[in-house]
Amino acid sequence: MKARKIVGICIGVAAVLGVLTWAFWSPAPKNAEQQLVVASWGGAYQTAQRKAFFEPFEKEFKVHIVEAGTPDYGKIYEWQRSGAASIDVVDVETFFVFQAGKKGALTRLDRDLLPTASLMKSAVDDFGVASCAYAEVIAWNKKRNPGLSDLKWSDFWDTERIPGPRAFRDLPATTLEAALLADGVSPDHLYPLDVDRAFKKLDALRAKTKIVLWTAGSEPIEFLKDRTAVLSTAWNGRIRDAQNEGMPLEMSFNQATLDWLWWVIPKEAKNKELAMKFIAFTLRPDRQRALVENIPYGPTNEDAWTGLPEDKLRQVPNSPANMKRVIIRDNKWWAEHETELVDRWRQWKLGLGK
Amino acid sequence: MTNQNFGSADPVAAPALRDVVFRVATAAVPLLLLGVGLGLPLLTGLLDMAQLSHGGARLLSAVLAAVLGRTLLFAAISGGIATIVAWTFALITTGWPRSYRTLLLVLCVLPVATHFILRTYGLQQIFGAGGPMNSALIMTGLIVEPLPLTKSAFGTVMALTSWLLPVSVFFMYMVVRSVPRELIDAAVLLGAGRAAILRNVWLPQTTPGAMLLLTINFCLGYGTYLSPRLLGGLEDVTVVVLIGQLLNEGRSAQAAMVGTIATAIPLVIAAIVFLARRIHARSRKLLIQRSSEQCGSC
Repeated sequence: MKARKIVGICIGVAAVLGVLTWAFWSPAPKNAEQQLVVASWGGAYQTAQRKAFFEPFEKEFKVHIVEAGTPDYGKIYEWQRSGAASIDVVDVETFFVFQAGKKGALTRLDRDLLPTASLMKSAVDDFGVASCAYAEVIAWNKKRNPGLSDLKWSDFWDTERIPGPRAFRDLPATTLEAALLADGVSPDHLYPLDVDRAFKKLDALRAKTKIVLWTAGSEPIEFLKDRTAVLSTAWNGRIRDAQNEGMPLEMSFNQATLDWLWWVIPKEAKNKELAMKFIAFTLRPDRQRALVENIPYGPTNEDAWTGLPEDKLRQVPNSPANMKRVIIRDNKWWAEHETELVDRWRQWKLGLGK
Repeated sequence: MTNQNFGSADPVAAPALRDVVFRVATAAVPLLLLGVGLGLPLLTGLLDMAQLSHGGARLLSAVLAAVLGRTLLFAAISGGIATIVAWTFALITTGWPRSYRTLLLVLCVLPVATHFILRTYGLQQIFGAGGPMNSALIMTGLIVEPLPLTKSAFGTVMALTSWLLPVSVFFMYMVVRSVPRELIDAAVLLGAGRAAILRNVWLPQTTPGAMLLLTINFCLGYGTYLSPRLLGGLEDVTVVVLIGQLLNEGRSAQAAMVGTIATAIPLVIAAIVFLARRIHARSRKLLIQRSSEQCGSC
């Protein structure tokens, strides 16, 4: 009787252990080195990257791509100090490439592996290479504001014509340019930015209406949907994605700020060689076209333009037609003034120093 | 009896000296740790700030002062509201049947079972400009334009209070339950009315518990991140949000300095309260001593 009890307990314990092992066991990759960790911005953009870059790269190079969370600039600096990075390739904004490159937090790229001859000159730096172009546009809900079209920044400031709250990204970049353009500064004479004038213009808007801020790319869509804001800045790809989902949103490329999204390799990344191969792969014309097919973010490889359909060209911010209407952000200027202006932006948000 | 010589040291003074040394040593160790723990990041941050221009350093200091003020205010308001509501609720339900009280407790614990982020997003949806709350108010004709219930200071306080409330009610319920029933029975037997029982029994018995809850709520509210991030307005930046932003900008030394100052402020407040109470107690003791001396002489 006692022996049967012991056998029963042993079987029970073995069964529990078996279930737990099955539940938590994940097969180790055959070659542990053939794994690349990439961090990007999520949402529609990362879905497009998955289809255009990640999955084809996995097939062609027989490696496994692990998609980490959204890029955290603080962590990249932290890895520099600790000497160990958990992500191999990070998708970042332009100012960060210049700033972190200068601070020694990024790996110098091997230009021999990149198709530099066909890449746009402004899309290549020692520490990063741009994979696509996007724009921060003015967006609105056309169901609530049916009469609006082709808005520019002076319309954004016109609270009498279009009453209601406005939404900006919680950053001074683009917001200051927008304020100056709304105040009548010519796009050709925008840089160096007249910061005092820009903040004065922002004060004027704040006095007339409520201003809300967004940090995640999905927030402007929510704001426009639930009336938190009547007009909002937004990334053109996010608005296009919302339109594809049937949301009544509209956007304008008129005076939109054009910027690039860059691949960088943290200084302490484990798989630098594979990371370089991945970056070079995403810059191939066929992969660049594939990205545009999935999200209207423009290619940085000039060879990718051939074969793009007309309707896609209209949606892409750096297409020849749209390039005449957008403002190109001077990121070298921003990299130099970022810290000081971010503090000034905080001061403005808190309503200090008026 | 032989007169033993213990040397020049006074046999009475020796233990007192040992006591003083022991006291100083026990106080010095935590103070040293605290000093190093707070002093090092503060020093690193100050050295880092010295690299900023004079205007830049002044700007960051002004921002920090304003953010600290706002954080203290949010923590005090939300902590205060949660404590008062929980206290009132716990006192009201003392007269309720046991089954009702149990149901209330279950209802209190239920929201805690869902994650705070989910609850905050829920609040965002309900109280947002296009949410059911504003829609209902517009439908009834009370308002024309949606009220700024989210993306405002009100939104931050609401989210923070709703986060603190379930546990606060639970806490105060336990405090109220710990009051001896004999005291209430005695008060009733002595002919005290409801108001008199509340004033003379319930309030004095539960006030220490409520003060403890207020302190806990203040500390929790002081470290808040999500409420101002998701429901706060343009000006609603708290210390933790500021630290997160600085870290994201690669300014970790300044983030550490802000964190140190933020940690030191409640400690300084607590030290001032402690000293004030000691001075008050000592002056009271002196006063009583003097009056008794005067009485003795008259």
